[in-house]
Amino acid sequence: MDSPVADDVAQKTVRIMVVEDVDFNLAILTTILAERGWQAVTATSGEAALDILAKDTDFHIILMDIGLPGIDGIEATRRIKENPAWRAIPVIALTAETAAGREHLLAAGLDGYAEKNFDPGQLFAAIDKHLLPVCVNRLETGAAMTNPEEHLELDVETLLATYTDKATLCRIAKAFFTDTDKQLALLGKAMTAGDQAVILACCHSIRGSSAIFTAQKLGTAAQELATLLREGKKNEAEAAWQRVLAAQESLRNHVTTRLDLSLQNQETGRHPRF
Amino acid sequence: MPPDYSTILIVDNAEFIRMVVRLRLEGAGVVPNKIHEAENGLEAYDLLVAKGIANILCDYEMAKMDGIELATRLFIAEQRRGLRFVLFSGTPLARITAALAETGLDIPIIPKTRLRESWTQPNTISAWFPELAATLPSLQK
Repeated sequence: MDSPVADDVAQKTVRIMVVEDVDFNLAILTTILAERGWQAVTATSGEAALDILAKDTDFHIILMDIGLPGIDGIEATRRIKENPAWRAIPVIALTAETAAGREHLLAAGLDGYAEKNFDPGQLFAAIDKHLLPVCVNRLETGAAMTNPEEHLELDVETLLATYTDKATLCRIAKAFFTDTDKQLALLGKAMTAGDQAVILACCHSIRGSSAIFTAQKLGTAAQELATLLREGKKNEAEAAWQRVLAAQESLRNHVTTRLDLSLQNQETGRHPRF
Repeated sequence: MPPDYSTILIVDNAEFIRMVVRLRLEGAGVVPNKIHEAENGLEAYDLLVAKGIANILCDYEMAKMDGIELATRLFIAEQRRGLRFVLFSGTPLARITAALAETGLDIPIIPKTRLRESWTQPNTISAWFPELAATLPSLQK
């Protein structure tokens, strides 16, 4: 199944609604979002935000101030989450609350929060959690990255923070390669046969697993292959396919080194190069 | 068979993603043999009917019966009540939400990346599957 919205995001037509009653704050936020080429649609009250949503739901994120005139940010979020057509849009609170206050916001239905200190790095980090990692090129901003090339291969810090112990992470890594090797074997056969439906399905699966495993480079390579095929650029697809294979082997080597694993390719029986 | 709220079904064609979700559920205290897995909507349907599973966490995009098709069959065609169904997707959600709204289904959709995040916060798993959360001592205050 095609994913036109994912393509939109990959091309950075990300639309974010910013709900904030202070003009000065709105100007800062829209400027920060514009740094990534993201489009901000602004609302100065909760009611105005709901009015916009009634006509236009095509937003990837809503940034919501809490202390608004009229209905506050919590009530506006409650109404958004009540509406089946709107509830999937993540709502991120802009807040200066304490930890306890933030838990209250999450319990009230907000999907996350960002410090209201207008720090671009913190704001982007909060937003990135709710956008597809493969579609957000963090290399461009360099935000929160110690080594951009490493993060493109694998965000080890995020994985360790998520899975906490190395044994679990190793189990996850092995499952990831078992799965993606299988998908790549299928993809290779489909490339030979020119079976576009299977190719797109495999790319989708690899992209999804890569997003969870924080393997941005592999996810992006699979996305590029799918995009070329959807655009009918079959001549360029072979090179893109080779980039997918290279990204997988590069990732395997990286994971092997970082996690001290022996990750044999289950489909070809080959071990990674050292 | 009446719905068993201590059970949950993970539906995704990628074994890796099913494993990630399983680990998160086990981490939250769900008994391993109460967690079931299916590769696609058709397989999921058969398991749901056979085992009376009440909670479903399902990918949107699958080759054999996608998530919306499965939900439509369960909730509209067969009028099954009492099931908790959460859809997830690797693509941003606005247009999928529109497709869902066209069917008249009222089920939540979440980004696939949320599956990576901690589920131990009560607001997360309780919001998705409140009856399942009620069976988990780790999520009781």
